[in-house]
Amino acid sequence: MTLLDAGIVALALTTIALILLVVLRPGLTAERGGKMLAFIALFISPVAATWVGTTSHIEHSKTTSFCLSCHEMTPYGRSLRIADGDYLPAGHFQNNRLRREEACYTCHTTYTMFGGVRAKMQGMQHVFVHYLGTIPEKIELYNPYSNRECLHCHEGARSFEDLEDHADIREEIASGDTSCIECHDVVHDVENLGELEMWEGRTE
Amino acid sequence: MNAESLYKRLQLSGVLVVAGLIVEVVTLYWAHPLAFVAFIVLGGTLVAAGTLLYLYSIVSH
Repeated sequence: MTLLDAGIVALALTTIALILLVVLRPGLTAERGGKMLAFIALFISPVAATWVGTTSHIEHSKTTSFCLSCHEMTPYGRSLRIADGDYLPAGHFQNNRLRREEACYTCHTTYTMFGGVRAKMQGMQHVFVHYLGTIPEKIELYNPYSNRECLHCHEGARSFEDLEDHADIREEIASGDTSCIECHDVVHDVENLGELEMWEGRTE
Repeated sequence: MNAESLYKRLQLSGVLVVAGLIVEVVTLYWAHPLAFVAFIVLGGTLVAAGTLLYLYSIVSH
């Protein structure tokens, strides 16, 4: 339970207590103080609790455990443990190049103004397909993976900037004419998971 | 609207908001892809209905 969740629970319980007071003794609202109490209990507090609750759910939806709670994602989660750093997701996950608890979201959100909102809308679409639609046999990205998502972290990093191979094609990478995935092309490889050695190290 | 009618609406509004808040709190502990949907669709709707009824009640009183 996060501090945010504890705060929401405390706010909700306080609100419920205030509402019970108003509901059980409605005559209180005849006075000015009672009117203010009712306004806080029946408007300000519930709206605040719902707002903060939405924030908490959105933050939770960024977690790796949330993404992997749909069984379709299980092999992709397993691929984070391939014992070979050349596998892009595994290398990032196992070497802490991103926060492990937000591994999926970090690479699969869109780093634009409304990228987070778009990711959430697509997430809702995934929930819809999971329960009411037809799950595709092969899960694919909506669009080719953009260099923008890689450069969000790697641009300016010494390990990226100092590499000669990168220097030669710097402009093509920036413009997207050359995709990062063209060279770093070993990604989840879920079809061959059974044949690959897995890293069973601690990730918590 | 007389005071008795206002009180009844306040009570109904309170029941709706409490029900919504309970749903919202429960979904926070539900580690499931549908938790957010339940939070918004069920909890959010109940809270919105309760607060709107309350606002309508005090405006029309």
